[in-house]
Amino acid sequence: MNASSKVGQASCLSPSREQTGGTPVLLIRIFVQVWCEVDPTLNLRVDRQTGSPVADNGDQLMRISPLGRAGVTAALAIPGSEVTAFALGEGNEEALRHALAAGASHAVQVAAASVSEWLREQKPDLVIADRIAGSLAARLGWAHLAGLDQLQIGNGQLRAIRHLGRGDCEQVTARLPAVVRLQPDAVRALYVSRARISSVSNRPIERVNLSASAPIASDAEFGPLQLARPRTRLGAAPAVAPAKAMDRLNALMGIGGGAKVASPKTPEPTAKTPEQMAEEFVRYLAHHNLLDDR
Amino acid sequence: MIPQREILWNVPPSVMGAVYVLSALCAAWIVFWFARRSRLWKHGAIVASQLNWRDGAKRLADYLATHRTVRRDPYSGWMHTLIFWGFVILLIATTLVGIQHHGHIVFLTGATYVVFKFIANLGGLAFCVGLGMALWRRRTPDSHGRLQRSSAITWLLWGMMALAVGGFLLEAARIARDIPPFEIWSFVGYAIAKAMAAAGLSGERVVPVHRALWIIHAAMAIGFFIIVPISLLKHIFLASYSVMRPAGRAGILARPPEPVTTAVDLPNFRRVDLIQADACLTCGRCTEVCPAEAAGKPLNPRSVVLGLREHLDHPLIALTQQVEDDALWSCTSCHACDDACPINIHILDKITTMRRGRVAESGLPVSASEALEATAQKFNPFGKPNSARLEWASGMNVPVAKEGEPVELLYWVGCAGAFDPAGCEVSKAVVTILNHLKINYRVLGCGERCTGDPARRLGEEELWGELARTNQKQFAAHRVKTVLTQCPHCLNSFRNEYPTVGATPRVVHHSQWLQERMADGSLKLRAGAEKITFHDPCYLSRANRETQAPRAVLDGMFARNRVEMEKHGEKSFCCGGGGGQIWLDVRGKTRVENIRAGHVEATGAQTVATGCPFCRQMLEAGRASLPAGQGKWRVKDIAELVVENLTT
Repeated sequence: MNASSKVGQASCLSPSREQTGGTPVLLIRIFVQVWCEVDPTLNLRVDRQTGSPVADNGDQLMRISPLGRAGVTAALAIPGSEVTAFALGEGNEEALRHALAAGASHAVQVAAASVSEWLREQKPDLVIADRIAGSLAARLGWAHLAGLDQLQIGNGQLRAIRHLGRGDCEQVTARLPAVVRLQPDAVRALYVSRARISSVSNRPIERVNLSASAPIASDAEFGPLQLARPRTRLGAAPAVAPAKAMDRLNALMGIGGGAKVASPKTPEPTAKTPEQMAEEFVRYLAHHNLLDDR
Repeated sequence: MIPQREILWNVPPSVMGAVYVLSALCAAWIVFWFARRSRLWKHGAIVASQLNWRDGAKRLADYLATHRTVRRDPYSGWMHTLIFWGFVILLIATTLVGIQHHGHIVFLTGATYVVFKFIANLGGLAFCVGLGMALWRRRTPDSHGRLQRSSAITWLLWGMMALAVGGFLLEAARIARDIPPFEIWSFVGYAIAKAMAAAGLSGERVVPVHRALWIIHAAMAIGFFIIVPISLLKHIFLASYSVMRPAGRAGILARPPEPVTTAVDLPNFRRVDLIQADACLTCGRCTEVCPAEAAGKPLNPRSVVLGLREHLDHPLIALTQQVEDDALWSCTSCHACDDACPINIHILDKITTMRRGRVAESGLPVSASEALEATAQKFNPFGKPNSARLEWASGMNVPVAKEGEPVELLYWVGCAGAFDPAGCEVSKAVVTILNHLKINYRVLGCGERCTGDPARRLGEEELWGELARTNQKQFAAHRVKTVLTQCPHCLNSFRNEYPTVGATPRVVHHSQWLQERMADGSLKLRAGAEKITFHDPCYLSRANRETQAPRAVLDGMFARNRVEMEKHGEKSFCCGGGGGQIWLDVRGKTRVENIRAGHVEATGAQTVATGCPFCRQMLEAGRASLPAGQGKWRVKDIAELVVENLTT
């Protein structure tokens, strides 16, 4: 696939819209990361020679990540969504096929190094990803939220429930486009029948390789991070800050740009130093009994 | 005076002409209706060897002659037998009259006429008595019992009664003109004629009455034929077709014509499924025996069939609206409905087809999807690593088949036997017996995979196919001669369903194998003193017609103390765990296992034995739910009881 080619329809939350029989149909373009992973529920050993994990005899080492499948499920549940599943690098074909069978319109295998550029070109309304979500958001300058559930999209905004742990949750909104990470186990993945999977066995999986440089999660990919208006629930970091450890922490915690919390009420953003923010973060953890005093 | 009568006496030719024309139109209407309906049936898929006409004719003849399945309910059996044979006799009588009249062959004369009239009167009387019995069951809303309340059916019965009584009145009016003595053999008509004569209706006075009665009777007969295709009467044709089809065996599900990848619609059904939906008599026998219905769950097997019929009538209304999800997911796939249906409707096939559609749409309950997910990923519905299949055997001497090693007797542990704590106890008991008898056997260990039975019952046909092929490869790799299993679901899969995919070795249930060992004298058991009852697992008794082997084994220990539950043998009541129900929980007024526990309680037995790890688990759950002071019995598999009573 050409570097500049686009998957599916143009984004319609943004200016474009598809005309169907004279009736405008809003398409929400959602890109979901899917992947295969080692099944952590098995008894695993590490091969001394190769260093790779080995499952016991009779077990299947790899599985399609439930979180990725939950992402597809959550995306398909959003009315008017057009879902594109993407996977980073080789070895994830099964996950992509599964996503197609679940109802995704397209499946794309993206070279790890190219993902942020490719996503920027695709102009999605929403990206649901795994651990790379914070980094992607930072790289693309989009809002980032993590630990989400019950995604809803309307009026150019994402509305969702964010899980805070121990049963606490809050409603959050964010401007689109946004990159989000779902709360593991909050969204239950759809079961996709074998017949459905077989029925998509001939559907093409597009391949994107903009450049073959560094792996996705490395600093080489992201370089100096540019966080767009990061705003925490209890305060906000400087509007634009150079890449620092604290920014990266913010990104990973899911307090990306444009995120707004409905409850508890968000205080007015104030410029604080990273140290102050760290202190506030520790207080927050202590308040929610999330610190281990030992 | 020669006993005979003038045919079509007192009938004006114009009236007769009108009757002929209307009769022809009736026949055309019936043909038209069935032709139009068959366009809908043709949406269904043709399945290979769907009907062998010669065998089908034999089955139908046997069915009509014996009324075997209808007579399972004696009242209904007698009722239908009287109506059917009464109707057949009247039809033959009318046909013979027609042949004599139009063929100009006079054979209904003399003694033949007398016998003919006597039999015709007998037939008419039987018809009336049968209809009376049918009407008696519909006299009040409460008296309907399992029958569907339908004023249309009640009116139909009254109409048929009027037709039959009208025939007798017509005959009586003819006899009343001069009351010939030989007509005494037309005993019903003769008696009515005498009464008419006593009332002054005789001689020439009765002629206009006879003519009026003839016209009314002819009009009613034409009306009867008009409503054949649009009323319950169409079962005359459709039920016959359904009965001609192979009854199949409970436990064998029909394979879908094509893999189901979207919502189920008419093409996903077999053609016979659609015809059977129209054939349903609404008698409610399926509903009467359904354990889910008994537990107050939303499933009513009759409604499933009628829902499919409604979908045929109104294709724009989705099938999922005609048959709700909760009903579909309440089915325990116990086959009681299929077994009870007097006209061989395969209800479970229809439920499973609809389930396939829901699975294809990912519209299945979460717990069921987890079980399927686990089966697909870990090859067992319990979600445990497949490598842990032999954990139950730790500390026991259980020989695992080496790669490629030929295996004479393969002990198939099954998923419940490997992962369910109660099932593990059964597995240990079986191994203890095998070791005690010094049997040369092997297990597959982590080479074993789920047979796919729960997946298939839940509607995941392709996953079942994958697992079946993998397991068959294992059998082939070890050149397995005999498979021994304690799980009737595994037994049913291997014996009845795997052969549709490929070759499968001989398979025996452990109760059958134990019976064989007792018979050859190698297994000797002590006599026990407990009062015991046996719960027949559906997939052993109903699906595989095995009810004697487990009883023989129990009788070897508790011969004088064995009692039967109210519902036992092939009429057993489900434990509530089949059809994937062990992973489902559709709420009802109570639970199926609680009802079954009540049946056990009623026997006063100290122990309930069973031959299925799922039944064992469900009965234990049912026992725990009984009120305080009850449930002081234990649940054991027959293998466990054998181990308790092994002689050293």
